Amino acid sequence: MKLKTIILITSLSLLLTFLFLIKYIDSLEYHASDIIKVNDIQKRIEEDMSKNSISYKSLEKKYSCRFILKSESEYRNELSHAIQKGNVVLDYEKGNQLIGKIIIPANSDSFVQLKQNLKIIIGGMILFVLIIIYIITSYLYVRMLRPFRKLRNFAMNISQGNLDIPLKMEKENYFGAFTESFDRMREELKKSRKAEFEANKSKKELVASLSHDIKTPVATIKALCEILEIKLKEEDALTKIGTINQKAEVIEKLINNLFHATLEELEALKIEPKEELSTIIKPMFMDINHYGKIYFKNEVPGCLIYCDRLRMNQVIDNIINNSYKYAGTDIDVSFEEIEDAIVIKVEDYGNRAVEEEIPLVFHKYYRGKNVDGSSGAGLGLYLAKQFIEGMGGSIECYVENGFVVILHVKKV
Amino acid sequence: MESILEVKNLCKSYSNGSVLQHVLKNMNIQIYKGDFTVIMGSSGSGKSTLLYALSGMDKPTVGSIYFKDEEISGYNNDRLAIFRRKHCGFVFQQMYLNDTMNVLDNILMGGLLVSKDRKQITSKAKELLQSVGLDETSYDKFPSQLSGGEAQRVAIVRAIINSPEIVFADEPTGALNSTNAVNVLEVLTKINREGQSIVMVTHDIKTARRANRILYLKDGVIIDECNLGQYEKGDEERHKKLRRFLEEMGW
Repeated sequence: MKLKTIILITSLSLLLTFLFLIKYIDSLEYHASDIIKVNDIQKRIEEDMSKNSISYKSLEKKYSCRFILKSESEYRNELSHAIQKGNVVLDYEKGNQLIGKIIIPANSDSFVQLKQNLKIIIGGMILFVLIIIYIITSYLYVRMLRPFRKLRNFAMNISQGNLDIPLKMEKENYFGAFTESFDRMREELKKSRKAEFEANKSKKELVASLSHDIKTPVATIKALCEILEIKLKEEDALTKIGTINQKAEVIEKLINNLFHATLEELEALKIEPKEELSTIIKPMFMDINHYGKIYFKNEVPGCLIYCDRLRMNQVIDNIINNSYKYAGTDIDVSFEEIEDAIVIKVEDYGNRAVEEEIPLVFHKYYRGKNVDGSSGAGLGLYLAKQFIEGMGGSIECYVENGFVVILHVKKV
Repeated sequence: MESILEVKNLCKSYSNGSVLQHVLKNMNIQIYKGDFTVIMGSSGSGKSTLLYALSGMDKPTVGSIYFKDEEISGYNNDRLAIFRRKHCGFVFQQMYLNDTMNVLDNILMGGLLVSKDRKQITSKAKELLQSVGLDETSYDKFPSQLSGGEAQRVAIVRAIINSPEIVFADEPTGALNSTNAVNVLEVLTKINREGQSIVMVTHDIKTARRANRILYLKDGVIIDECNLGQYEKGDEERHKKLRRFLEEMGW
């Protein structure tokens, strides 16, 4: 990442500097001589000469210098060679006469030594600087960048809606205090989001259950209107009853729309099966027996079942209302107990159900070919299936004399 | 084995404010003739409720109870009372002896509800008292003069004076010290040996050991049963098996 490149560039440039310095040091040449030392040597040579007992050779050895005399044939050559090498060339005089030259070589050995030492020192320093940089950067990485990366991942998670992943940070961290408040922020966010969700859901559920509750009395009003229409003879009253009936129908339609719209949004409807006595089932049928067309062939076998009252009510409502709408005949209801369930058989005698359509009736929005303008959204049996399966039961249907629905309600 | 009591889909629910609380849930049991059946389970699991429903002291919410071939679950209170009087004997933790009557009268009171032959009942009562280890000196005593164990033995005699087909006992040793408890249990074991069917509720393992069939109740459902019939009384294996069973049940 970025830190890596920084470290790489720094290390590389330091290494390059090092190489450059080494090169530079290597290219350096030493041309100066120690004047004091040279003067000293000259003086001593002159003193030794004045004793007159020493040969040139021994002097050359003693002071590691060289004598070239004017009389030598190579004189000029050697002289220029020595100057080229940067050696110190002194006059060698006797009396006031120039006899030759003394060549004192520049002290290049110690200079080489010096250069070597310099290289080591520079190398060591650069290494030291590199190590320091590495340590500092790794410290920064551990203490600052890594927490930042954690923070970034955390923020990413939150933005994606994962509010369950906590932000863990060490207390001694520089950001310890921040991270804690970040984490608290997450918790608050989670709480408020959950609360919002719950509120929304309960609102919708309220609408759903309310509209169901309104449906029943409206159906009663409609049924009574139909009876009155038959019984009443006066023209005036009849038209009024007709209006009432029409309006009740409008209300019913509106409620249906409302109900299904909320159901749509709710999608996953809450089904909470509880242990209930099987005796609650029969009253559910009785409640919607507006036309007195429901006949019970036998009693409900007494036992405990898993059932969500509201949902069970809706299942039965949907089945019976379908029958009212599409068959309009008598409805026979019978009960049977099997090992792990109660079987409810709801049977009508309308011959309008079509066998080929049976596999489709539990599909969402599917409406049979026999709808003929009757109101509905194609959700009734779809919902019934969702509900009854949510309670651990099952639903199936087939065509016999009419349409037959078999419900299995699970026993405790 | 011949079944004496059979229960189908028995449920008992009590309303607790607006909420129905289901104490017994879809219970299916058979109680066999001549068995010493014990019902065990933690507190609140529905032991006593089951016993009361079985014995016709309480009516089930739904479900049916058959005594032999007679369905008693549909009976009204009067018919249930007659049924209980004729066929059932009861022993409770509190003995419910009448404090103003002596031992013999306490027993005769139960006996004369069914039979009119006072002489025969009296001699039977004396015989039974003898058999539970109470001699003539106790006949004229009042309940307050009896020890707990003696009082409970009198209660047992009262329970079996009409030769009921089945005796229901609800924690009969619950209020007794261990010596008295053993005496009472000996009596129950003895009458069971003589062919008396007994259904007893207890949460005491020593008491349960007397049974040859143990039903374990949890949250209103019989979760398992254990048969000790094949072991002799006092057999170490019997105790071990029961202990293992109860451990499995989470006793």
